[in-house]
Amino acid sequence: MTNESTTKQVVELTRQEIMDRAREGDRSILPQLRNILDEAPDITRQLGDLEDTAREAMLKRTAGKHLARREAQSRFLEDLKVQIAGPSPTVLEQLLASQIVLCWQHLRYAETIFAQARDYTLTQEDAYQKQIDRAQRRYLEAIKTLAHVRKLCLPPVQVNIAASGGKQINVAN
Amino acid sequence: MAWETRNGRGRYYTRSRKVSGRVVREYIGAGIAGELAAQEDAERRSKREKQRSAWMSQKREQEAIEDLVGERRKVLGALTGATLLHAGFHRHHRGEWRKRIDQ
Repeated sequence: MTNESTTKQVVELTRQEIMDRAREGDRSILPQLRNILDEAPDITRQLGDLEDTAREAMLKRTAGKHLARREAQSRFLEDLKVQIAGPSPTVLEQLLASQIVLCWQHLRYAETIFAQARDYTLTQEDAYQKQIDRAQRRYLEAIKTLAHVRKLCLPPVQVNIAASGGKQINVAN
Repeated sequence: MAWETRNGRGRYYTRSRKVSGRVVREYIGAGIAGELAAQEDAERRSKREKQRSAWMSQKREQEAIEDLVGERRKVLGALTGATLLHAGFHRHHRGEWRKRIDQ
């Protein structure tokens, strides 16, 4: 009795690879991409968590235990986000507006840390400057991306709030 | 390690420093002069260690925040690309996004 076995090699792209290739504009991964977009609530939740964690960490440094300052900064950032997003923004525009504000906050944070630093060495000063440069680049890139997306007039993304409180995102065709 | 004993005759305080790449040991002396110099060095070392520790702690905090902002940028970049592809755009020569002519 012979056992015939067929070896089938299934090459599966990881979600990260698919997203990376999407960023590069590779249309061959559209079917897998549609599956990922169906799971968009998961992605938006991930983006929200990253934003919240980063924002809180920066507020902790820039406002310290001063509750009024912390609240004022937090409200200012929220207002800024609304202003940048503009009237009736799509979900993508909202996410990009959040990224602009987060990058702006990061830039301010980096500048504040540098201004507060005392007795730093040349190496440390160089590290501070590089961090500020990187933060500035990300900030300008975020602005550029939002402007570009607006220019392309992407179709709106519909958001449904599920009963449990989770978000469900559908991309309108 | 800066206190030394030579031929069993008391303790001497010494300082080591680099001169033109070579280590030069300077003899400060015994008794009160040595004690004062040792105390001064210990305070300087402690201050330097505190500064280094504060810098390392701040550096770790900054890197953690930068990682979060960078990670969000990466995920959002991918989501933006995915949305554009889904909407029928393509990247022209890996550069700007353009609407496909056949759509």
